[in-house]
Amino acid sequence: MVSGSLRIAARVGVFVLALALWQVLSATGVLSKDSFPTMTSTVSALGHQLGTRELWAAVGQTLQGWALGMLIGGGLAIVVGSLLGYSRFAYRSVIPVIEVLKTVPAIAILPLAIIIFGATMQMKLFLVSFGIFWPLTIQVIYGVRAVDPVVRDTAQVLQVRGLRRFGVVTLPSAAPFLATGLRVAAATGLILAVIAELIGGAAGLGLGVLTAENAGPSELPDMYALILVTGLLGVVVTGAFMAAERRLLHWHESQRNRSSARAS
Amino acid sequence: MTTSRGGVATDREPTARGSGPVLSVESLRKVYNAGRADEREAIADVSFEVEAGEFVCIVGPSGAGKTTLLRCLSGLLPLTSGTALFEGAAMQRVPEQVGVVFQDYSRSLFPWLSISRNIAVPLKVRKVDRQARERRVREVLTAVGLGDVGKRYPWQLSGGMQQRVAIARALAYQPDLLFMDEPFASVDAQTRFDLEDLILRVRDEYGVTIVLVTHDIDEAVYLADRVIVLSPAPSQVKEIVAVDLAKPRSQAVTRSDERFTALRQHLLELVTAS
Ligand SMILES: Nc1ncnc2c1ncn2[C@@H]1O[C@H](COP(=O)(O)OP(=O)(O)OP(=O)(O)O)[C@@H](O)[C@H]1O
Ligand SMILES: [Mg+2]
Repeated sequence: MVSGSLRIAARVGVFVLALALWQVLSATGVLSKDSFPTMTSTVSALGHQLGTRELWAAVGQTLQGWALGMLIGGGLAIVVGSLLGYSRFAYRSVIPVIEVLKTVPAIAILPLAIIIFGATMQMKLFLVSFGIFWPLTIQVIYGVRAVDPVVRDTAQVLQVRGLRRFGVVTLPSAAPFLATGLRVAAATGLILAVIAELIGGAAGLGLGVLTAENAGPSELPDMYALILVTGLLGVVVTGAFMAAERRLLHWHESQRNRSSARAS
Repeated sequence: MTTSRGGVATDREPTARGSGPVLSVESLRKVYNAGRADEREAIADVSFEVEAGEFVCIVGPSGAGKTTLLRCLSGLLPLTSGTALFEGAAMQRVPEQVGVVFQDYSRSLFPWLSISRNIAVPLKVRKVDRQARERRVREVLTAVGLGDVGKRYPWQLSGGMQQRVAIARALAYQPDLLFMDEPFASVDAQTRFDLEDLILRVRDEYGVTIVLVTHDIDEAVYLADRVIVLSPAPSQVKEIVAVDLAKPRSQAVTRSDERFTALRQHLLELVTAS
């Protein structure tokens, strides 16, 4: 057994090593100075930015687009996925179309979104919602259809029907699929939000990166600092979803005995 | 088909819900995948009746169609032909006053709900208020010999305990008729004896009519008022054997009774001779 403190020490060690490697490679000129700032200058730029209101405003705008997009795309996916999952006929008819639409990268509709909405928050929302809707819908459909036959019989015997059946049986049965889908959607959604800013020009971290890039080599550390912030945001978001999953799915095989010891 | 039903000692009066049998099955036939290449006749022709308060066991070789029969009788599976009446009425779906304890009890308990919440599900459906619900949950848990497990989750309990919970949940809404499909098949011998006695006691306490499927002939004789012997699939009733053993039964006394041995021998011959 690797003890907890050792594991943390190993992670910190690898992190420090990566930063050191970055510093060595950029300082010695292996990485071109025109495109890679040194680690130290980037970190100091980051330190400076953390104290500015601009950075936090940008973080807020990115997160807002992400969260609302998740809410809209996720909400629709749960409703549509449940309806399709419940009806075998609807499922059979619609699934080929969904499988095709799923493979269309969300980026492909970015030009369309820009034409319709311009460089706005709506454009960002549209891109995020659209991008997470299809894969999540598929997860929901499979989840809703994954009810164990014995559980289905049991629900029938106990007269669990209608909306109650959805809450007591269908949703918990689908929850493991839903959790995976949401965790992946959260990461995808964040990437799409940043893309909407970086390419589509909506306000947020991505636009900050674009602005810094256009400002020339002197702003290079600032640009990289913003990229780091974006990465960290991704780590935080994914971590939060995993923590929520651990809590809500504590009863599921994959999470059992992680926090509480098994009795008997 | 021969029927020996003389001298069935039902030691309780049928309850006040009418005089007819709780369950009456007439020429029940079940064909899976009818009309397709993989058509399979599971049940050919089964008829019998179950009176209120009776304990009926169904035995038959593996694959005889016992589970199929139980699913048809509880309204989970449509019949191909024939009739199955519960309290005089045909079933469109599972009647409210029917309980089922499944062969696969560990999958039948909802793993996302604690034990008390599992048991409370049928009570919530029936709009039992919160206080009465909590009282009933405690009561049935006590009845099945489980004390303070309400807050735990099904997967934290042993197999025998899970089976007790499944029985408790089925009893919680006080069904008139309880179906059980090989309920004690996957627990150890001692637990099995305990659960057999438990179900006999609970039957007396709750006055519930029980139809129990088993492949264990000893178990059938020990528990039943009557044993229905099925032939291999497509199944028919080979014989209905009345079990005239004294009540209340006890593992030590009943199983050493000469009559027990004779009945057991008779059933064994019926089941093994194919
Ligand atoms: N869903 C189904 N579709 C097609 N055939 C089925 C289905 N379920 C059961 N059968 C067939 O019907 C017959 C009876 O099966 P059933 O499960 O009722 O037997 P059983 O007596 O309960 O067996 P066991 O003692 O092993 O539990 C078997 O031959 C089985 O293959
Ligand atoms: Mg079976």
